Amino acid sequence: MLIESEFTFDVPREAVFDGLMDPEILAGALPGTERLELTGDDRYEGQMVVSVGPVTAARFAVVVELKNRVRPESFDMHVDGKGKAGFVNGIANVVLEEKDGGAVMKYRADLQVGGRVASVGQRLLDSVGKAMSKQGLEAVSQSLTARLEPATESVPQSAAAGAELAAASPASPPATRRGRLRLYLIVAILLALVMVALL
Amino acid sequence: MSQHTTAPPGTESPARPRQVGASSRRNEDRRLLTGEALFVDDVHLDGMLHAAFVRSDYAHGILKGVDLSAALEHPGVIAAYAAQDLGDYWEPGPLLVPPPPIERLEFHAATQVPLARDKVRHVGEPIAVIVARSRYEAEDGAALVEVDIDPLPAVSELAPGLEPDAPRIHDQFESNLAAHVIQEKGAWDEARARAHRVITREFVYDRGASAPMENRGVVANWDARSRELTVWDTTQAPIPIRNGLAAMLGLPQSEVRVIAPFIGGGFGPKIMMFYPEEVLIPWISMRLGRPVKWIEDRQESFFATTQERGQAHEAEIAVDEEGRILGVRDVFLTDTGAYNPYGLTIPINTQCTLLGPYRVPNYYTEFRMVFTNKPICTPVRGAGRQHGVFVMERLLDRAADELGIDRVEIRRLNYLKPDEFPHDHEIIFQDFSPLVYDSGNYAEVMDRAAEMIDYAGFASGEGAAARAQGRHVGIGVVSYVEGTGIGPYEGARVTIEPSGRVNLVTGVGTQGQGHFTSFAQLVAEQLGVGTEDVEVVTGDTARFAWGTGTFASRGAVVAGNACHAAAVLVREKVLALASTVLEAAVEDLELAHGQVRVAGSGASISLGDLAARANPLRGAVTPGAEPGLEATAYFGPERGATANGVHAMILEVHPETAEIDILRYVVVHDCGRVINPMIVEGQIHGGVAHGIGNSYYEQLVFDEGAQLLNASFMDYLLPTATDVPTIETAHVETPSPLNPLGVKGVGEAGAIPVGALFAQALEDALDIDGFEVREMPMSPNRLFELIRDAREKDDPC
Repeated sequence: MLIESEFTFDVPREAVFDGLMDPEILAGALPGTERLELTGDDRYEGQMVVSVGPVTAARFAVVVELKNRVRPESFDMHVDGKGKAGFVNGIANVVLEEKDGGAVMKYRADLQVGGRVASVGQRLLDSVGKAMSKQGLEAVSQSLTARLEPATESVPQSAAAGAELAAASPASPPATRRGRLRLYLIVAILLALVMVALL
Repeated sequence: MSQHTTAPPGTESPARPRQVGASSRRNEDRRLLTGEALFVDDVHLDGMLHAAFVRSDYAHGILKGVDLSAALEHPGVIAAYAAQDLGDYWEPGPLLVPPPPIERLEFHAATQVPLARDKVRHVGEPIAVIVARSRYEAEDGAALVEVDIDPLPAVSELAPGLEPDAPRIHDQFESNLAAHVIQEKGAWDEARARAHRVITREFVYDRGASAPMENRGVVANWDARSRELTVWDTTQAPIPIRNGLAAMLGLPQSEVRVIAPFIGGGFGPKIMMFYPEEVLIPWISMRLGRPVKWIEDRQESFFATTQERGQAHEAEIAVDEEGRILGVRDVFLTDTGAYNPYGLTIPINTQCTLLGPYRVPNYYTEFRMVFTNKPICTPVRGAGRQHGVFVMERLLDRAADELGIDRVEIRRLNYLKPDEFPHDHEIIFQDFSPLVYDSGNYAEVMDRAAEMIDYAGFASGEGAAARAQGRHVGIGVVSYVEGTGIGPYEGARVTIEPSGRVNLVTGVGTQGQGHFTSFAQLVAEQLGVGTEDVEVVTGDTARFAWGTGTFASRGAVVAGNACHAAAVLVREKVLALASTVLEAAVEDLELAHGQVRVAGSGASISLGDLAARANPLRGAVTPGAEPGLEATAYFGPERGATANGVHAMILEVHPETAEIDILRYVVVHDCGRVINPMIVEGQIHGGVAHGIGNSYYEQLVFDEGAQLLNASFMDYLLPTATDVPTIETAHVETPSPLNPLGVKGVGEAGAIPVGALFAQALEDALDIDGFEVREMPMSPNRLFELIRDAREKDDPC
């Protein structure tokens, strides 16, 4: 199944990326993730709990691998989730583009969903998924806007944001704790988006 | 509502009420309605265990490992088995129907396995079975089984499945081609070359479920002391199941008893034999020495019970200027799912049924059967006949349009006439016999239907009136034939008890067809008793051990004639004995009201007393005489009897919402001699309901990964009572010469032409240029799209 959508942020792309790495902002947009751990280079394993109509509180063991990472523009995520209620696997591609001073997040996931989630949850996947992903992304957007409001008054703030972004760019060593944490959070939110869009 | 165009056979006399031809109330209904009927799930035995199956979530994948350890530790779990635990018992199921003797036929058999071993090939394929004290514990145990599958790309569509680079489902074959069959009659190419018009179309018929009210179930109990394995099974074929289980388990047939008790709807998938659960539950009972029950749940049923109907056709018809059929060419793909245990029955039915009631001098028909990663296809009510009827009726509709001929006229023009029987279509039918129609009077059936629905007056009358009001009301009329009542044989035993009641035992299983009544009527007719005096037993191998099963609309034809034959033999015994006792000539005796009477005198004796005399405790009997008033008889027809009919409907469509209302539905049917008109009508009603479902509501939707997306009754729509109209029926009786009763089958008839009829009525109701129905099933959504597309083309602004 193909999931394709986009979401427009009213804040600059760098700030979106920056914000995506902030656990405070992300907290509200990560439903169902019980645990997510880095288990190797760009590889994450964790557990999510999701409910789709008659499939309630289904636990999925999830493995995610990040590929083709071009910060701050795009990612590929290889997702492999399995649980008693079925499975999800496939590739999600996420792109952030600049637009009128804001950012457009485009995501496209080509996923195979199987088992009970597909066979009895199908009818609800589309509408519930769309509504929930929109809610999640709006929550992120609001948090980002709120954070940036005082910042717009002072010029140095954007420079600081740029500096921070530079620090987290692929050119800098990713082995720091903070870098790992950020990567983890990006994976977490994107994974949540995929799962939410799906479920 | 029902009418008879020919009087029921015989005339009623008070001395001897006729049973055959009467709408007797059903003997079985009291038991069914009061909850006394035994269904498989009603079987409760001491110490009974319950099984649950672990099934594949993947449509196609390498099965790398199955870990049962956590399940085995779960409280209440007694045992758990994966493929490797079955040892020598693991074996692919039998090929139930080998390919018929057709030249150049190519067939690759791959039958289902009890538990997936190296590979999974469709969603829902069983991987492990968990046995526990309760179903709850078994389900919980099943949830703890770790299954390691490496997914493979899946085949979900027919044509792509035959591409050279398609994922291969069975490694032993070079491709996913399961079979390739060509049948020919005359010379299509020549017919095409001299045709006035050639019309070409593509048609698609998609999958549906059989959706019986009762899902499948098996209870098995191995009693080591009495050395008897008893299996209660929701099968349409208890005797072949007994024979097969005995062979698999290494038991003598006499130590295996299979009981098919009351069954809540079969519709075909319960004739599919040696389902994994059917093979495993008895084996587990023997291993554990305890009774074991498995009842399929509704969701399992969407994957684990066989399905039908995926076909894609490219068809052509060649006609002359008047609309006479010169020839037909049909090339199609047919979906068999992941395995093909039922052989070629479905597509051969399609090939044969396409010809319908028509004279088709030249016919080229070719199909390829394709393995896909979907649940297995085996016959479901109609069994491929729908597709053939759809293709032919649609082609005739198009020919009528192009030639400017009336739809009914083009059919009448091409009907075989009553003096053209037997008619040899020169191709091979599913029973391996040549497709030879035995009898029929197609024009009379059509005339009757046209009159009942007022076909002639509709266009200027009701149709015009509706159109004037801005409503979209159309009429449809289609014909079909149905090959029914095929061999090999069935048997029956009739016994008169000393109580005077009559016991009738036959081997076929019964799934709601009214066997307890129509079979009883046949026996009552011969013995002069009431239908309610005949106790019928079906589907218990301990009571009757020879036979094949209930399928191909053959119960009344094959088992019915066996019941009749056995009753005739018992009647002879009754008369012979009564002649001695009453000291009267056999010709002077009459059987009525449970008595044998000497005509014209008061002397009589009851059947019960005769039965007692036929089994004396003391004294001498004639050497060589058989005790009792009992006889067993068998019947096997030379080939199947061809039933036929016309369905007509008046349909209103609301184009804005794509909602429909069936305003009238008429069925005129010829199933030969009618044993019980009420039961025949009931069969037709059920079939039409099934057909309406298959035409507008029921479709199994799979995604490109062969995942089923609507495996619940939330999403898989069955027609409800409000979607099924009052069905007006009439019977035309042209008795079949192929059996003594002259009967033909009717079980599937109602379902067969509904798609073709619905398509025609939709087109007539909407009357939009370019609106054409080439696929089944429709749905409100699909109909809406077709209307929108046609309107855009019709009026591009």
